[in-house]
Order: sequence, then structure tokens, then C-alpha cells
Amino acid sequence: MTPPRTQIDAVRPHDREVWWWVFMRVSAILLLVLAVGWFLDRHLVHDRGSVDYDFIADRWRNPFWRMWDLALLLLVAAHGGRGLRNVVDDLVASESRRGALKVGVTIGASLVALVALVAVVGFSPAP
Amino acid sequence: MGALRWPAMARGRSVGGWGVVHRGGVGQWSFLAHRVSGVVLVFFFLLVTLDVAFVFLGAEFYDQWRGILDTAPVHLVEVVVLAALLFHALDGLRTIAVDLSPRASARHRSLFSVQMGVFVALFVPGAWIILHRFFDLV
Repeated sequence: MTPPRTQIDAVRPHDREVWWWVFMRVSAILLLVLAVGWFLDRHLVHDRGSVDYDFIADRWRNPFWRMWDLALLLLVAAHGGRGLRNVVDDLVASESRRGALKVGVTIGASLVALVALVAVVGFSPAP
Repeated sequence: MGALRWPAMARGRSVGGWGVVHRGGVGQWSFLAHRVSGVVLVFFFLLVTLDVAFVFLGAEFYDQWRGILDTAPVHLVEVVVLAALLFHALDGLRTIAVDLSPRASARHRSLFSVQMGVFVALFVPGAWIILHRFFDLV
């Protein structure tokens, strides 16, 4: 006899989809802070029109802001990639096209994350 | 729960995506707006990642690129992006509340009204912040 289903059954840790669901919520809260903070810094603290190479070099001299920008871009790649994947899941009826598109979205999001990682971590300002 | 909380729009069916109306209430339209704003944000942050990658290419190239960004159409697009960002963030908070709390779930319609009130209260000053320097507003 199978045991009665409980609510706990819905969040078994081996259910990868559930963990992605949790990730979307947790990353959403982090992104709320990172993205809104980024907007306020770019538009209110500084003049967005004055952003140039020296501005970025100056900003990234401080490891805190460098980590801020990196965390923002990596979380956006993961959160946005997963969101796009959900959209594909819901809108593409053909199973083979859906599978291919989801693989494409995952590869694309990984590439974007890689570009962000290399660009932010690998940057050293010209003397 | 998440994507599963909503009936899949096309999975296993031969109907095309966007035409499907489930119940047409606040829930469905906010769901649709959440997705549209999400896709807008994906494209914007692709551009931001590109921008960051351009820093890597050196001062001369980057400053030229920032010159292109400091033009009227781009500032106007940024206002649209701000709307998408604020809507997506606030709607996401409401979704989390509805997922976690049965009380919030029962009141999701009034929660949505509150959400849109906060949206307007943040968007108007936000849009002003974006536009006032470039367009010489008071």
C-alpha cells in the first residue's frame, strides 16, 4: 500500500524542478537589492551620462562594487535563463523543438554568465 | 507552484501559445505581464553584459560606446526598462507572498491593487530621475 501523500512529498530534495522554483524566489529577493541598488547608483548617486572607462575602473577598484556587479550579472543570467526556459516550456507545443530550445537557452545563459565572469574578474585598469 | 501553478499554455496541445485565455482575471494578466517584462529585462541585461564586456576592450572603444548610449532614444528606452524592472520586481514579491501565505492568496486581487499603487509611486520619480538631467527638466 502506498503511504498517503503529504505536503512534504511536494518538496522532496531530489525534485530538481522544485529547487529551481526555490532558486527563482531566492534570487528574486537578491536581485531586488542588487538591481535597484545598481539603478540608484547609476542614476541618482552618479550622472548616468558621465559613465565612462574611468568611472568603471574607479568603481571596480573597490572589490565590494566589483562583487556587486558580478553577482548582479551572474544572478541575472541564471534567473533570466531559467525564466526564458519556463516561457519555452509553456509556449512551444512541439516536444522536439521545445527540448532543443531549452538546451539553446541553457547554453546561451551559460555563455552570458561566462562573458560576465571573464569581463568583471579579468579586468585590470590600464595605467 | 511556480510554472506548475499555472496550467501550461500549450504543452501537449496543438493550440498556439498567446491566444489561450484561461479565466481572464487579474491573475492571468499579471502572469502575462510578468513574462513580457521578464523578456524585456533579459534583453536589457544582455546589453548590460555586452557593456561590461566592452570595458574589457579598452578606454577608447568603451568611451565611444558610452557616447552612443548617452543619446535621447536610449534614455527613453531606459524608462521602459525601469517600468519593466519595477513591475517584475513588485509582481515577483506578490507571487512569493501568494505562494507562501494562504491569506495573501485569498486576497491576491487587492494585493495587486496595492502593488500597482506602489508601482506608480516608484515609477514616476524613477522616470524623472532618468530623464531630468538629459532633457534639462527642472
